[in-house]
Parts: sequence; C-alpha cells; structure tokens
Amino acid sequence: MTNGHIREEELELYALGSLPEEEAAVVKAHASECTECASKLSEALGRSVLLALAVPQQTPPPTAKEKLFARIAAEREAPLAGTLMPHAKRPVRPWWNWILGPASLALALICFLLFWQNRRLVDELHSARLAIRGLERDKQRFEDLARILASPDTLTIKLAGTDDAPRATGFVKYNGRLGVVLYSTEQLPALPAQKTYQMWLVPTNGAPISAGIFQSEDSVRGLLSAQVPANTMPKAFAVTVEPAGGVPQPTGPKLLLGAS
Amino acid sequence: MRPERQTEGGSNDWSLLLRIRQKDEAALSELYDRYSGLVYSQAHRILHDAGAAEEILQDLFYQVWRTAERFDSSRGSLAGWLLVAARNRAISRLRRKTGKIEEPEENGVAFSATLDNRSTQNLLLEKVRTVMSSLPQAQREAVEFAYFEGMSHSEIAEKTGQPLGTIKTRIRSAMEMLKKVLS
Repeated sequence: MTNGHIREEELELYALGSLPEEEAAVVKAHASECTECASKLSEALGRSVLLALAVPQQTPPPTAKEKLFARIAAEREAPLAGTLMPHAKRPVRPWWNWILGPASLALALICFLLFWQNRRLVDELHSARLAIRGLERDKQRFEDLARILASPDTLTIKLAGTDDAPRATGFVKYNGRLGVVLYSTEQLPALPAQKTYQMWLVPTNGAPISAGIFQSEDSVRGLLSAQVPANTMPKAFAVTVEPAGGVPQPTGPKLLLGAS
Repeated sequence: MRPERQTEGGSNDWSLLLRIRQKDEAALSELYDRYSGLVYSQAHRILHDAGAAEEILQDLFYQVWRTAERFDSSRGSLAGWLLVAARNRAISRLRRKTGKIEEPEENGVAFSATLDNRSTQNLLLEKVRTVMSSLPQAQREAVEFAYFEGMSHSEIAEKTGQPLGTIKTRIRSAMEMLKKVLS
C-alpha cells in the first residue's frame, strides 16, 4: 500500500493472477471500497487481456456453437414440458408405472451422491499428491542442507552487529566449492517501509555479490540459502538495508558484518 | 459514456447486448462469431485440452445470454470481460481449484482497443505478438508463467531461481511494453 492505495505493481500482479491468495484478497477488498484503485485495477485487467491475443488463434469446433444454442433451446422449452393440455384425456398408467417414478428418482439420487463422492475423493487424492510432492521437496532440501553443513570444506563465519544494529547477530555457512551460502540472523532492527535486508558476499577480489534479500520474518523461520558463483574466495559477509526488491550493489547502511 | 460505434462487420457489442437482453438469438450468434475464436484459443493455450476449452467457451456465452442485463456499456469492455473470465476459469481448472472461481465484475475490465471486427482483431494480434517476441526471454517467460500457468510471483521466483524482486520487475517491464501497444 502507498498513501492508503494499492501500488500499481500489486494491481498489475493481481490482474495477471500472480498474487498469492491472501494478498489478492486484500487487493480485492480494497478495490471494492476505493474507486481510484478499482479504476486502476480495471485498466490493469484490460492490459492483461493483451496477453490472450498473443496465443496462436484456433477455430472452435462447429459443434460448440450448436451445443450452446441447443442448451438455450432446452431452457426455453423446459417450462412448457410440464404443462398439461386442457381437456386432454389422461392416459391409463399400468401399475408398475407407479414404481418407475420413485425408483428413477432414487437411482438419480444415488448416481448424484456417487458422483459427488467420487469428485470429492479425486480432489482429496490430488491434494494429497501435492502435499507429498511438497514434503519430498522439503526432505530433499533438508538433506542437501545437512550435507552442506556437515561438509569439511564449509566455512562458518560469525556475523556481529554494527553501530546501526548493536544487538543483531548471525552466522553464515559458506561452501565455496558449491557456491552455496546459508545464513541466519537474529534481532535485526525493524525495516523501514519499502526496504529489504540484503546479504552480501564481499570477495577478496572484485565487487560484492548479492546473496539474496530477506525480511525479518524470513529469518525467524530458519536458515536462508542463496547461490553465488562457485569458487569465490570471500573476504567478508555483510547484511545491508536496501530498497525493496534488492539492488545490484550495496548502497544502504550495514547492519551485520563478519570477516572470513 | 462510451460512444456508440458501428463496426464494419455489423452491430457493435453493446447494441448486440441490448438485443441479447431481449432474447434475440441472432445477436448472440453474431457476438459468438466475433469472440469465440479468441476465447477458445486462450482457454486451449492454458489447458491444452480441446474439450475443456469448448466447455469454458459454451459456459461463458451461456452466462452472457442469461445475465446480459448486468453489463453496462458505459463502464467496461465486454470483450475484455470475456477474455479475463475465460482465463480465470481455465486457470481454476488447470490448478484444480475447487470452490468459487474468481471472476471479474461484469463492468470491471477497461479495455480501450477495439476487437469487434476481424480486421482490427488481426491488427492488434499482430502488434501484441511483435511486442511479445521483442521482449527479453526472461520477461516473456515471467508473464507467461503468471498468465498462462497461473503461477504466483513467488512460485515463478522458485521455478526460475531468481529473487522475488527480479520477477516483479520483469513482469512490470513486460506489462509496460504491452501498455504501449494500447496507447
């Protein structure tokens, strides 16, 4: 949010359907009460439509149109189906006709219930498969992390707070062979609006290399990881405060510093 | 108020909608012929499934038939709504989401370009494709992952191994380029 309005970047992402559900809900709720943001969102949706025009054009099958109009015709005729002709002679129904009605209804009900049960089970199975895939990915990640942490060529660098963050601490585990940086921080001062923390590897030769951006809540969740060019010799690691989204080279104040 | 404009192919969208409100099937047929290709192509691109794309196409035009009175000519674009609604339905199906589909308000899509005849459609299609092919590959991929795969920016960042901020910047830059097509 900026000045009580949704930022255009967020509106653009919402229009593309690229915001996570919780953030999308915030945008939607705000736009429903703010005409300025609703208007900008409407324009962003209009721009997103352009992407639809980039796809190869295909002709729908002719049956699609026939089915559409058959559906409309069925809807038009449905109310007439139940009306009775005046003075029409009611046909004599055989005795088993009385059973057919309720039996058909019961059968339809059973089919309906089985359909919904089947659909629910398919959805549950799909969700379970997604959860398993997520757990497998997590397991693989933890195993990779454990291997890196236990590797004899992984360096440990302690990070100490600077004058701008005297209470802050942290550590870096760095494996130069793999170009992997793992780090954790504690008690960093709160970030100003539109800012992010950024971790830097300062090599013995050359300019600092970004090792990722993070927010304080990311750090609380545990070990953060980043990939840097393999075989980079580090002189130090540092955490700075930078504009949201990160920068190619450090510009903001240093909060944590550790020499290797 | 949007000016009423007669297209070379026949009535404009809003006069067709007025007739659809009166349950004029010929008007729905004309509207269908005008936009079914765009709607179907987009759904097919997202789902890679002709049957599912056809279902979305039918359902959308059936909804227009049933609820034509909800559209307001002065407040939004019918073509824009059809494409956004089709995209949302296709993504919902692609990601096997259950529950309510996120659908734009009937008058909630501002789309200033004209699509209501074949020649203007082809002209705009050509412009958009030229812009898309001129985008750096990383930018094009980012918007395509978002729009056609329904991936959130953090999912794109994870898939491409790039920082979240980089993905947002790529999407923003690509959309800025597309914005110029309309201006």
